[in-house]
Amino acid sequence: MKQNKDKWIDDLKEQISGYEVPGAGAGWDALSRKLDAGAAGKAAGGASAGTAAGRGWKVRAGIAAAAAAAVAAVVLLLPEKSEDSAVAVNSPVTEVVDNAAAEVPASEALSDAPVLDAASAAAFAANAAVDAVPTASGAAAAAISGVVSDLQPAAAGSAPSAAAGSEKAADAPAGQSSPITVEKADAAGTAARTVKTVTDKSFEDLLAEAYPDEGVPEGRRHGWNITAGTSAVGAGAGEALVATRALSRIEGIFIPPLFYSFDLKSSPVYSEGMISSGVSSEMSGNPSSSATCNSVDMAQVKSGNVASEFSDKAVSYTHRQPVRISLFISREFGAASAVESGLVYSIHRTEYAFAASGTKSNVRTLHYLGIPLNLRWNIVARPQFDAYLKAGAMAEKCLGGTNDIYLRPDTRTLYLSLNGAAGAEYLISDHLGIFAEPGISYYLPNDSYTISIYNDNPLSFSLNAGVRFRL
Amino acid sequence: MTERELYDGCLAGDRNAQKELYENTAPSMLGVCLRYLGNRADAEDVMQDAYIRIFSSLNKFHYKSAGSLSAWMSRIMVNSSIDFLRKKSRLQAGLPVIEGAVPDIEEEPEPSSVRSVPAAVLMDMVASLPDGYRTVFNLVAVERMRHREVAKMLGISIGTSTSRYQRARRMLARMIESYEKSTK
Repeated sequence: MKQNKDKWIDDLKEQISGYEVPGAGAGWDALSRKLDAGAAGKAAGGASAGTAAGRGWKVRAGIAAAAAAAVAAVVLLLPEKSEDSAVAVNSPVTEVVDNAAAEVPASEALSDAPVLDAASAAAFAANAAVDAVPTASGAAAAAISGVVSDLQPAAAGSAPSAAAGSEKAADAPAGQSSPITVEKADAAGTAARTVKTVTDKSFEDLLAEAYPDEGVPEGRRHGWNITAGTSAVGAGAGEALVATRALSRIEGIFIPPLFYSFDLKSSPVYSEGMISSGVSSEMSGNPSSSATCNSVDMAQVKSGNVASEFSDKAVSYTHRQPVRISLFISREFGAASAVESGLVYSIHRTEYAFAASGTKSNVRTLHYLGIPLNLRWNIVARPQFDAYLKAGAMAEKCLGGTNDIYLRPDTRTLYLSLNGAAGAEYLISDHLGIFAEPGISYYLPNDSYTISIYNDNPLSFSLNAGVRFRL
Repeated sequence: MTERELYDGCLAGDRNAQKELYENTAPSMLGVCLRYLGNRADAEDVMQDAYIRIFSSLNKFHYKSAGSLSAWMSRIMVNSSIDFLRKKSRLQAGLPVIEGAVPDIEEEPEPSSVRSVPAAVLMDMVASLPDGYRTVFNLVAVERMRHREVAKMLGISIGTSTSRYQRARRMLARMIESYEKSTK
């Protein structure tokens, strides 16, 4: 049918494609004069035009490279959010923990605690080397390794081992220092990150009530190294983020997270088995940084300390890989660039379990909707193949989700991210192509109170694939 | 002389070879330029400049087989014609009014006897198309380029390329249909 419809076009092409204009050859004399007079100049003009075209490509490539470098620089150089406040807020907790630790043997407490154990730390150590390359700079990787290596002695000796080289750990009295060895992993000045805490005044007030006579020693407020352990960077596609976090709720007041640490697990598949395995190993009771945090909580329970109220709200959680569905519309301008925007819907699932309920797990689901704005540059354009770079930003909000009191959705905060990707597209036809875009995203710090993979793991990799229609 | 001998002679700067190549190929090359530009004066100017480009850049062309030189020269004519239209801003000029004059929903006639229409008449019909339509039509229907390549070459969207081609087809089909009726 199509052949019949185009037959007259084929006939037309045959008629006009070889059309010869009579008398055209008479212009040789004029051409000869031009060749004699200025062929060299014309040739130079042509050559310079070619050079300009080449320069244009180089300029576009330069812009693309600069944009990629800018995104990388922002990602690597942005200061970590609220680390100071994390220390300030957590310090009262550490004081509570100190007192309790003196009363309860750590090993006893550890047996009940849902914690990150040494095995987890060791696993992380192995994973860190793998993750470091695709995730962050070599310096960040070094920092991660350093943290892990610091954790291992603590596990072996059950000692109050703040990490060696940690200034604040060295300041802590050995006799009192509980094995909470959560340490900032930013010693190397990298993006490695361990702890994030939201300031909450009411919690400090609560502690003051718990210690009406002695209060909270000022020196102790900053006496802890929050270990942490892990880098927020780098949960790539196919990697699970396992975290442990303590939450508290007292008299109906939601206390924001006091501390948490999380660990990267190398897991190509987000299976239930993998997640459970990660959680169960955390609960095996080997002393480690996070382990001691929770063990102290348990100690509070046993000692009847007021702080025991925190312990049964300790929660271990695991972020599953978000699933994202996008609809983009783009407008090409020029032959090699385009601006694109659209809607991006993401569904996030977080499995969590409270210490009090053992391994019983719940799933929190959050729905996000984002509006991206990207620029795209073609770097290769073949008849049926395109390769391109793109960079841009996205504003995203949580639409809602599971309204658990401890993991309630934050529909107020705007999540801003910087995104970069390199893509390849195969053109099936003029109007239809399939593409794949490995990319990197960095979520800017915000004040959200809810647990989110965006905050726990601001730097992430993604692989987008889909179909592109050209109208 | 054969095409190969002409090529070798032109490459060596032999003015006689250049003249012979010009005289042999100018009618068809002017036809190419005329197809894109629609009027002979512009076509001749562009062709002259294109020949200068050809003779000055012949060392960049690698002769492969008979016909490859004329095919290469033809591509230079096409590119020179499009450059000319671009410089004159004629690829966009006047399109909105004309685009509105040809409803997209109109059914395209199917001319049955294009072969019976003289080539000069068909050339006139093509020449009567708006520059933007004519260019896309030539690139797609004659040069067999894909809309995606046309879009990149002309700096327009694929959708624009497609719609211009379809409208050019409809316009030509109506002209041919009307010519057939008038000659019966």
